[in-house]
Amino acid sequence: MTERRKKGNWRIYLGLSLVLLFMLMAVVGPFFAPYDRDEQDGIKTIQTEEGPRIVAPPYPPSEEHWLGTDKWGYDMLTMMLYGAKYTVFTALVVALLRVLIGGGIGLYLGIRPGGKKWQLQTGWLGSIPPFIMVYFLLLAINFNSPLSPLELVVIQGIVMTILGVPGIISTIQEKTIDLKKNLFVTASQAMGAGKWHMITRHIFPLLKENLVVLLVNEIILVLNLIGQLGLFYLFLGGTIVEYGFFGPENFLSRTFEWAGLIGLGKNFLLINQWMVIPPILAFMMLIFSFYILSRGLEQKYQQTYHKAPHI
Amino acid sequence: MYRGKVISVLVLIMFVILLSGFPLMLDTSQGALKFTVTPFVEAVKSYTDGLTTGESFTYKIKDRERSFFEDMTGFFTLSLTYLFIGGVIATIVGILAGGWMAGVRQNGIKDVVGFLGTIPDFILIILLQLLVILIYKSTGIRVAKVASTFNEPAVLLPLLTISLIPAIYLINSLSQRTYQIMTEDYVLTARARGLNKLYIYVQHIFRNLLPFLKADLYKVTSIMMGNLFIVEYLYNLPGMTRLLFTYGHQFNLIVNTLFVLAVMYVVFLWGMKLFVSGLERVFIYD
Repeated sequence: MTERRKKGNWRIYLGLSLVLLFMLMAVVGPFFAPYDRDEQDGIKTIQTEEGPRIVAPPYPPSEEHWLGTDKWGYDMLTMMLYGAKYTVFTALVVALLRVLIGGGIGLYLGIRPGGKKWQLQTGWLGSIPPFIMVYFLLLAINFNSPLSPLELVVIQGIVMTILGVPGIISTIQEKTIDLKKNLFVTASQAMGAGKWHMITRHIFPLLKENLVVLLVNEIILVLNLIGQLGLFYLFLGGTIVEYGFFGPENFLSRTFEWAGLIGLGKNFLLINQWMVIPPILAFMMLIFSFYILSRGLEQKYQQTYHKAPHI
Repeated sequence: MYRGKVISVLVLIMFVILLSGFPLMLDTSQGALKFTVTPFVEAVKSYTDGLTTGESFTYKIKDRERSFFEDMTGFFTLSLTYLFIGGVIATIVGILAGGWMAGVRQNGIKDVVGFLGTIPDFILIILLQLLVILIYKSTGIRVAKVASTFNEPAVLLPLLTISLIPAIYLINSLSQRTYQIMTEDYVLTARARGLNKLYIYVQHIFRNLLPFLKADLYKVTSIMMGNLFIVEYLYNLPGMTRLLFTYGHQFNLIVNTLFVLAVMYVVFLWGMKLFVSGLERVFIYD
């Protein structure tokens, strides 16, 4: 049994250290950025063997720009270091709020005597995925918004939180009802224990491991949602749109958050792959670190006894 | 029995109208965020008025007026075809690979399959496209179409993506179920009687897996509906979701498209149920 516990551990250490690394990068990243936030490398002349030549951005990865530049000459690495905090912390905070609010309500509904199961009304609504809901809710405010990036991030965060709460409520309520059936809970109830006592002494200690795994999985879901919105130019912290003759022509992220960089970079997939590869790899690494953490936690908390298969 | 269905349809109608109208309720043109209901109410009123005259079933591309139903049929067929093919592939792969995964003891393989399940759809698509492009650049061989062109939709990559994501979900969930069923006493009895493994798999394990598969279908179909938006958008497929994103925010168009998507979801769900019942008929007999 102790061996099994050890097996789960390297996943937890790896996941935790990667997550901490990302958080550290999000906080101190801008100080290490090679360029200023708004520094553009515009059209310039370079000396080649055949004489001077005029070149224009996007510049491919080079000594000056390790990861290349985008169409407007912004340095990719600098953008990613400045944008990290929006992606990382929004996902963390939104997931945390979802679990806190949904968990609280779920616990309350579960512990209520004779409480009916609060079923999610799916049915036909299964046809409308969550990201479409956020899409229409944000469509009116995200483009060339008068609000500041921070205000927009807060609004987007609130929308994403509200959308995720119902799912958590039903999960936690179901778990609570299950746990309530344990003999020791019924016994303490029979001896006159109050709701608060039951929650703090019996239900929550059993539930907290589930809550941690749930939190990590929610972070991954939120990252997924942020990424999907980024594809449709609904960037965290707002989008700057430049209108041309045929309608919207150029989109720019105001915060350089990673999902936005992916959304912008995907348009250059055929020609300038360096504009999409770094943010995509960073995004995947971020998801991977939360995933491996959640796997480790799951294995650690897994029941220590289980039946063996016969076939 | 019908009351629940009627309520769920009413909820859907209200929800779709509110969702489509929400962008009309927020006004940022004055330099600050303002909440107004008037444009929304007007849009709903003109929509309901237009239901009888047929005006609600038109939309605009630039300045030309188009008929919604005429344009929609082609998109509808294409989306539904991709969904069905993807769903069938995902179910078959899920059952087979899930059965195999249940016997796997190494945690490493489970880590990898689990991680594949958490990779977001759009990242998977962009990576596949990058792979095809890089193969083309280095060898000159065009493995698959990266995106649809004017009248030739991409086939291989979209089908791969749309079936891969639900397949991984099914592999993960069905392998746990299969493992659970393998621990049951009736499997031990069957083994003790000397029945062969294949027979036990089909007649004992698969039979008891089916109820779980049927329950999972709801989850699978809604995962696939979510993927459909991303798949059609990134591969530029001429499917239903094109109507949502390409022609600007036209209230009539959005409401109609969301309703048709709901109908498509139900048709898809019933089709998948039919497919699973078919599997039951073919493999399970007494």
